[in-house]
Amino acid sequence: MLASAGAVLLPSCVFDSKKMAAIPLHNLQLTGNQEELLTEIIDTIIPKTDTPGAKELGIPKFVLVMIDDCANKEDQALFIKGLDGIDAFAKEKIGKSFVKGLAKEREDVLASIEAKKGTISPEVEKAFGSIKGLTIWGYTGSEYVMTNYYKFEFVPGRFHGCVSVSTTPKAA
Amino acid sequence: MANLIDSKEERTFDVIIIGSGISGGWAAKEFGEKGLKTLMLERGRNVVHNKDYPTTTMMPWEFEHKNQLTEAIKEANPIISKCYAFREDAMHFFVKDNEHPYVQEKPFDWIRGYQVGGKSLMWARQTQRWSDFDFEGPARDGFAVDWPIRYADLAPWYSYVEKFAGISGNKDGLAELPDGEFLPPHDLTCVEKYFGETVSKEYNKSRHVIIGRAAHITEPQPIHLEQGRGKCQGRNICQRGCPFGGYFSSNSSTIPWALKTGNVTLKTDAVVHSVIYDEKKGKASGVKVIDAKTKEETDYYARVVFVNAAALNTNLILLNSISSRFPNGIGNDNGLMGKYAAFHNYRARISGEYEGFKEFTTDGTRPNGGYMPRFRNVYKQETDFLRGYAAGVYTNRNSYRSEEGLGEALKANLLKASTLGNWNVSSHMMGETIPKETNFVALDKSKKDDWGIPQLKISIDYDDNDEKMVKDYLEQMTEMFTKAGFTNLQTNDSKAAPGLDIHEMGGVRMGKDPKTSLLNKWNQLHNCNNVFVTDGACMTSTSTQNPSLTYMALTARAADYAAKQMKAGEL
Repeated sequence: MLASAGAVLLPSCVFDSKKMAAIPLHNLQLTGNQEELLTEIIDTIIPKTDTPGAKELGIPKFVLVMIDDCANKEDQALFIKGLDGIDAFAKEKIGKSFVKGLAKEREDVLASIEAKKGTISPEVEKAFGSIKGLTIWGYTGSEYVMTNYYKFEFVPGRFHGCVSVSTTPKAA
Repeated sequence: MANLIDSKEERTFDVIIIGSGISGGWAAKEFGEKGLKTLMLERGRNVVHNKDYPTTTMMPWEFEHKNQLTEAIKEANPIISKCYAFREDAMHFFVKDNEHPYVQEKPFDWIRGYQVGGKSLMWARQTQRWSDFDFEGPARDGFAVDWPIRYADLAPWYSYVEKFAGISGNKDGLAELPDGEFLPPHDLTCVEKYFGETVSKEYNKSRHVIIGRAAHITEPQPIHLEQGRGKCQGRNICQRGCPFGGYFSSNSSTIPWALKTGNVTLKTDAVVHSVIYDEKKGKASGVKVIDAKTKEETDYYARVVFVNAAALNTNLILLNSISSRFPNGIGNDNGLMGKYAAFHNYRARISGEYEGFKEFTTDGTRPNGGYMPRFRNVYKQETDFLRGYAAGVYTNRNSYRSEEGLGEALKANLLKASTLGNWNVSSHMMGETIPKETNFVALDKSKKDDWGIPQLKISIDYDDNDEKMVKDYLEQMTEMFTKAGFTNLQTNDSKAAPGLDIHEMGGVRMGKDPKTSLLNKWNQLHNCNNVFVTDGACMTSTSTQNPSLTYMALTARAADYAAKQMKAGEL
């Protein structure tokens, strides 16, 4: 299988344009370049600041796995088309490939895709929507965010049906 | 051949129980405690409490697909994928579509759990008693046949099983939903209480919203601790199996209890082909078992056979139990076996919002919900359809975070405390369906399974009564939600095929007359009285209540009767 062949590549070769994606995939035919593009889009949506960003939290893998395993074939084809469309959009907007853009430029590209909703190609809009939605899902569902910010309780041990909002301890 | 090596004596028991689910588990416990040598047969693998709950301590972020189904699984399993509990965390407890095919003469989503504990591992744990408004239904309204028992026959057995299983609930004092032996109830939310007060006032105290009675140990009693079960921790991921034993399952409760008596043998991978009928003795002598893996056939013998294979599979086994005396299935002289099957109609839902109680919210997690007992046609016939529906009622405070922006701005939005919105309110119906001769299961004439057993053909559908009930539920709930000031109401009729309710019942119904029913008031086949059926197959009508508690009570009662009859030499 082409997809799994990528998995044995050394890290330095991961984003070789002729090679397939490094993450083992079941359905998607994703090149190393497309994988890098997707990773950078995701990391632009949730970048590292004084807290970990999407890349550090493994969100790109989650997004890819979800599209690879949980989207239907039609949506997967549209997704690949849309992903390429995002890069084409970047070239038009900043004169270079998305991954070559500075952080600010990348964010501008994505912001303008969001702002132009309804007027850009439906594949681009849909692919970006999926990526952003899955990124948020992966991020907010990550151990880091759920335990540090949302006070996730695996064993709550209680239920109170009517408590005052002002005295409720939970943040989630 | 093991048959030839083993002596027949080693394969002979006092009682054989077919199935280890919610009713089979109870039969094993009762017979084991009574000192009867018991064989419990399970067609699937063993699932040992705690040991075999692979996902029970997994955190939400540990599921590769965040508990979603992959396209590949959905494509391979169009039927079971429709089940709300068939998700990444519990799919190992459900039968996959290609494993055990069946024939759908009419669309029917048959949800099964082939392992020790059966569906008691993944059930919804709602345990409402029946009342005489339910038992007297068929006789009063002229459908099916009269139940051979009344509430008074079952009440002590409801108490008996409730105390052991651990049922939480509030003593609401309602004639249509008798109180039981309750552990402390879960809380209703402020909005559920308010809704209950509203409908009580608006409908002259004829409609009620109560907290569901549910098989959760909210305050362990010595009998629960003795089972090694503790307090429910409200994780609300019960379908994975509970390490605390907080909810009732055969695996956490009745089966280990039964095995501890030393009188019960559990045999897994034992596919029951049929009940064996001894023409000379004029009664059943045992069961024919096919090993699930080796396909080897072995006969086991007993004085009494309890068939607890789950409603439709119990029909299948009995219909396949052919002898010269019973060419159409054991006990089936009247040809009614498999017929008058019924289910619960869960098609309709309603949801909305409430803008009140903004200063309140909920805290913690509740593995339960609000419940409206049937209010239609309770005391007399008053609508253009027979019977009625109960309703689940759920409310929770909506909370959300802005997903606006990108980069740092988005991150800041996502890490903020969530904003509380309106209360969400929702309800679903649980409609009684009328058993009819035309709703039936039968053996398929040509298709067989991998063990050479005929496949089950299912021919069950809605009727005009069900359609009217869906309409009425949506009208009535819309009216009640509107009176309570709920807004943004959305109604939905899923048109889902029968089956997804997982409350299929009947086919081997109880009744007074052997001409029109299969089982007597003690759940014995009229025509072969050492065969008992105490799972969903025995149900004469369906009521609106989740049926498992009634199966448990019927099983304990029948086992008590059988043991006494055996002691007296009658069986």
